Amino acid sequence: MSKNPTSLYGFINAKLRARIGLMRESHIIEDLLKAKSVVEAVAVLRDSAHSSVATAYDRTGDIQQMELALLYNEVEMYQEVAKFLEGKPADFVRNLLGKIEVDNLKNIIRLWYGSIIRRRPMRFRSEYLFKEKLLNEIDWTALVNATSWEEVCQTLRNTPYSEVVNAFTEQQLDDEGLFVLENKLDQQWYAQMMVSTERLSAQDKGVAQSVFLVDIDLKNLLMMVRYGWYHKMDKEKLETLFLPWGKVYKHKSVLNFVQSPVQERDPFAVIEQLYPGLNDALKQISEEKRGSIHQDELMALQNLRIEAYLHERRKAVYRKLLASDPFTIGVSLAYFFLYKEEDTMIKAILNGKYYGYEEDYIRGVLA
Amino acid sequence: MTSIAFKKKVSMSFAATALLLLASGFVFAPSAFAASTEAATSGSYTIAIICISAALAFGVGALAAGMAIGKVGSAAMGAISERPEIASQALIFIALAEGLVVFGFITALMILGKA
Repeated sequence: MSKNPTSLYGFINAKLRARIGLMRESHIIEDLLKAKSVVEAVAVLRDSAHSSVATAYDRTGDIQQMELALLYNEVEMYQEVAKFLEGKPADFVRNLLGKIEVDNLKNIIRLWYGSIIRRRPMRFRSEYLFKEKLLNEIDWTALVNATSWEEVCQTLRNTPYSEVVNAFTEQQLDDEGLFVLENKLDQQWYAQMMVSTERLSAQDKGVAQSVFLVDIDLKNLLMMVRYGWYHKMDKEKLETLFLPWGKVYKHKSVLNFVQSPVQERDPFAVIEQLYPGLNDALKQISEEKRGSIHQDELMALQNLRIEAYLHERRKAVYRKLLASDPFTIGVSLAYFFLYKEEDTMIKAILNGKYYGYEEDYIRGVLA
Repeated sequence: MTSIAFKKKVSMSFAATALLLLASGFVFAPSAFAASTEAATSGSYTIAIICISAALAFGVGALAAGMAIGKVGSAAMGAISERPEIASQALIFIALAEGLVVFGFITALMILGKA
């Protein structure tokens, strides 16, 4: 018998809300930014919830080991929340771990590709991979050590990724690179999540889909600008990159954009219809920077602006979730988002300190 | 002890408290039954109905309080485990839920006053 939402979410949502409160009160990001060196930054982490990161630094003195420790913390966080839930919501949270699994798989395939196809020595880089079980039984070590693509496919044969990897050949990867394969793996995860949201209760489904559809719109818009406009990808390839959900995918202007000849594509006309506020900001960048920087740099800046705008929209969705019904999956999703946001900032600051950047410069990058 | 086991233990102890309160509600039952028998023999059901109503007012109030405390308490435990400093605030909400049984008790006394 499924529990009612109050019993199911009462305990975990109160726990997560308390943690969100602690996150908001904490000055960890500010203290990290003010640290004069990476050693001082590590000292800040030592007295926080990220003490394992400091331990990793003490043990190895290696910035990438610290990033790996942050990844372990993130995985633990998802597993902990799933443990306190039951039934479909617990499965849903476990499926969220699938994104980390897909990213880990992509990292390993990249290493394998560099080593076997491009003949670049892997050296110590395999030490920075996550090698524990996430969602599916995958022998990560066997994957890293595979000597051919067939061996990679063989290692993944009893996993959901088998079909995707089997659709590619070593020759194809050699010719075209990993981009399409990686995109297919991402698409598979999104498809799995959309199925997972369908299984949730009506209220949870509404909440989860509101989050995912914003995320999917973000991905599709970036695909359109980056690959459709910046890289001038042809129609057939571009169509396969889109995630088939959300308002961007279904919008008529996006369809027209994809159909039109590469040289005539105008992403700003599409953005004007979908996100008028963003278009104004992009036009402002063009006017300010025109003539002073190269066209490629201008496009990169515009890309960053789109990412920042969509991140703000995502943030607004999560803020709304925290202010709405406390007995839904929304609180967990908001917590995951805030945790990841803090994680990303910690990684960026640690890297900044490690490479000797000034506090103001790092602040600028984070903004 | 895992957190789920802890959570279950807390919920069970709240449920046990609710049952105890409910059981104490039924302490009224024998006297009510005796009274009702007496009343029935004297040809009047009024006292019997009053006593049963009082027992119900207290019993249902206790049951509802038990359920409410179970839920509020589990959420309170979740929050306190992360921020021990909010324990006193969390207890206020548990006390609010406990108010239900007090209202039931007062109502029962008022009903019995009519007898």
